[in-house]
Amino acid sequence: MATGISGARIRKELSKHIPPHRLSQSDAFRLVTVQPDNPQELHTIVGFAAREGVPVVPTAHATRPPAMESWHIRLNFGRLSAITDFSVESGLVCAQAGTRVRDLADWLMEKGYSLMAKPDYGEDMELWEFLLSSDAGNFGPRYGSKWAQVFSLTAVLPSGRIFENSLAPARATGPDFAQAILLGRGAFGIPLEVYLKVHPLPRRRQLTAFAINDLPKAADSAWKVAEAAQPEFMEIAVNRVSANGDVPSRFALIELWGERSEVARRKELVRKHFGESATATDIPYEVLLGLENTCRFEPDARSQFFADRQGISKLVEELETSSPNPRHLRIRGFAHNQACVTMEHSGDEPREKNAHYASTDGDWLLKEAARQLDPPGIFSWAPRVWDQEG
Amino acid sequence: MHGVRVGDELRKLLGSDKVVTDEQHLLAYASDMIPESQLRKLAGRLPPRKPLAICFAEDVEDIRRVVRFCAQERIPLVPWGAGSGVCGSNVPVEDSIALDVKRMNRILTLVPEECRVTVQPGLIGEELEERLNAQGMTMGHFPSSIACSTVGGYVACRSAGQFSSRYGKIEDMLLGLEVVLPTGEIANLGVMGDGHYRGPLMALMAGSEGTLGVITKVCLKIEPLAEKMDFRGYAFLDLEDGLQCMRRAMQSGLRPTVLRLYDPLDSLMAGFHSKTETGEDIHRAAARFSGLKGALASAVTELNAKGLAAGLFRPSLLNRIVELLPTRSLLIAGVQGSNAEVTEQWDRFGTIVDSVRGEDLGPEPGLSWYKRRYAISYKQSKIYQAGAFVDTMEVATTWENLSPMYRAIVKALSKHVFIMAHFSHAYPQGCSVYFTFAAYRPTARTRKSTYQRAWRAALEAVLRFNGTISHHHGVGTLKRWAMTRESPGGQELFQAFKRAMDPAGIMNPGKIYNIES
Repeated sequence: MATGISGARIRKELSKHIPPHRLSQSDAFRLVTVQPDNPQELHTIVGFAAREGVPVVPTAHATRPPAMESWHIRLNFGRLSAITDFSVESGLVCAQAGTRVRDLADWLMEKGYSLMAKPDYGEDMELWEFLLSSDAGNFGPRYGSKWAQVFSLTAVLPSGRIFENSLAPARATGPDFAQAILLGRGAFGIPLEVYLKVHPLPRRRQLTAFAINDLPKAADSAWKVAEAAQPEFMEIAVNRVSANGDVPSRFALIELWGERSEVARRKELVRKHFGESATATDIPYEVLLGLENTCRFEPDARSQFFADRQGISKLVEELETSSPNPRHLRIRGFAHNQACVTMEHSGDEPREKNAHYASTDGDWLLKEAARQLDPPGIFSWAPRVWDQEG
Repeated sequence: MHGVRVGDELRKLLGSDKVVTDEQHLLAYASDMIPESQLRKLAGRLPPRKPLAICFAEDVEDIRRVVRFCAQERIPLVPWGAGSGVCGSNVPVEDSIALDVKRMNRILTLVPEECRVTVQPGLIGEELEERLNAQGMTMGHFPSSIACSTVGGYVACRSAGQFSSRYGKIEDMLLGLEVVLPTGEIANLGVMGDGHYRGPLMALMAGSEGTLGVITKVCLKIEPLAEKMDFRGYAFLDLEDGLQCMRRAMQSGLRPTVLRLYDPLDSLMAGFHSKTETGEDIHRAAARFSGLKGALASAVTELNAKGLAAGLFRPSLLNRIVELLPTRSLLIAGVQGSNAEVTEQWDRFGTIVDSVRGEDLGPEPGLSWYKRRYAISYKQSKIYQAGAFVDTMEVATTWENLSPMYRAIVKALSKHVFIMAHFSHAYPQGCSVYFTFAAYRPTARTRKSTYQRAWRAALEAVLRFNGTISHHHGVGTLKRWAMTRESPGGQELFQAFKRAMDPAGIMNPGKIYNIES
């Protein structure tokens, strides 16, 4: 998109609504950075951008904004980072888009609560980034995907209009536009405020590693484990980057929360469903905790996508015959018949190798819908939903 | 295009055995089960619109032919399952065609070991469940309309079943869809797509009420049948205690098969005739209100025509009497699993019940509910025959807002209609309230105006609490006026997707949002 508007004009127009100390301009990068303070200001900023066809790009620590040829507006959510509501009775917390997920998790922990999904890498992501990124969220088997943890959403649409949905645990009021916004990766709207489900921290938390003896069978059994035992966290890992010599090269990491008897019962279900394909190990707790807290992959070296049971079976079978590529593999977030796969490739392997596992469902329709919703394409930077993330 | 020509063209496309245009059929497809149509019948009036023709599709190619024909001729198309919706999703618009998918009623694949089944959209829920049970599996979806509703309809309206606290709503079970888009193209979504990924289109198609395409295949998650199911009843002196019990149970990690709390009047309607806290029989307590005893007893317990007319004519008085009755609230709970799991769940649930001063009534109330769980809807026709009306409304919100919202709705409705409610479809974060309301008015005009005033007053109360105006019945035409307030910005998104997917504007126009196609 190329617009003829100048940075000075953008700044001048925005300064009618935004105090000068929350506006800055960079001629070198052809951008005007704005720090909105409330949804009404977002409505004004994005509404102006839509009228003038100026691209709008939210930014934060973990996001690398795309290089832009024309003048554009960068949204900095630093002033929209408050926790605005917390209800123990309803098990909900409401936080603004710029809240760092790590800060939110810490704040909740002090109150004895936990998020029911958490970022997998880069916990310094802001909430809007976490929700729009391809990150899996980690508590899939028990509580569903990270998107399922969004109870209610306020977002700014490409017209500047503010979208809100009701405060309800489930609805039958037409299509689920909140999920469409989140799964649209920013093409249809950018989250401004989100009610998230929270869970009381458990009295007992057990982490267990199972050494995998038969990877294809264990990967298949994982679905039964997810269904029967509903672990809070489950990961199948091959050559995990952070694993040291104490840890088998292929293992399943399982986390269970609850009362002692409940944890014991569910652990037995895990054993039963893994059967011979994986056996429990006695790796020290600190090592397991270390594993859980070191989930990083170098962004440039990974590919990450969702696949269903059949897709993962196929992937694992291929892995058995095409070693050593990929060098590292993690499968987690088992929820609703799909899981998130992260692979790190050897340097000379083309990343497109796995593109067939990724979604292309209805891409053209979604692009057309984005065009209808956003004729000048001011949010078109965001959706990597149509492209494989590199 | 004229109706006769439309019928002829469709017969050429599909064959004569798949198209009907006779008056009786057209009248039958002139409305779904929206109570407004019952009111119209009571007034002796015909439906304002009926379709030009009804097509009975037998496969996806039939559907594509009809959709392409409608797109080419710009004829509105209304997909039909069993027509059991109560919000007007199937109400035809002017010069439209009804597309019935009930002949597409096969199970296509059933893979118990992968816990999934793929079916055609016209399969009746009860039949699917019976066939799954024969394989040791269950869908876990038991709407009260299970005998007269289709799988495609469940997805199109985001339905919920009576065991939703255990299995979730239909969208929670949905793994994949095949959809004929309004252009005639086929979209394969979720496990039916190349990426096996639940992307935005799945979120859009579920709940779209036929406005974005025709569902032609549905892949659902299924589960092994429970080894044992067990039900019990509990009594609470105060409705609030019962709500606390439900909330704590859901937040403790229990996943009860069913949790269903009746407010005092609905407890009576559910057949709960237990003693009050003072040991007094409820009917004897009611008898103290001399002169109105008969009206109450007849209206709320026997549903006879005379009682309804007498009792429902002054709903505010009747509601007030019910408030004064010293009755309790009944909670039906159910759990499932192995014997040991059932015992363990009852132990945990019992501890929660004790913490909120509930009384365990044993298995009888639970089993009694289980046996009669589909029966209640059949009482409605009696009420209509008596010149009264009855309708139901299912709304939802957070636990924090639930009780205030319930009371606000009761207050808003009680001057218009006689009202009772139960709380079901519980989640860790909130719950649905299911209101049943009824009134008697002597004339068609006053019946209609009372009915409309009641709905408006109730939904206004829901919107004040930022609750949802529909938990599982859908929107149709009944609630569309409230949609822009339930979800500001939603109409803009809907229009964008509608224009992208349905450029000719043929798919079920005027549903969900009141916009021109």
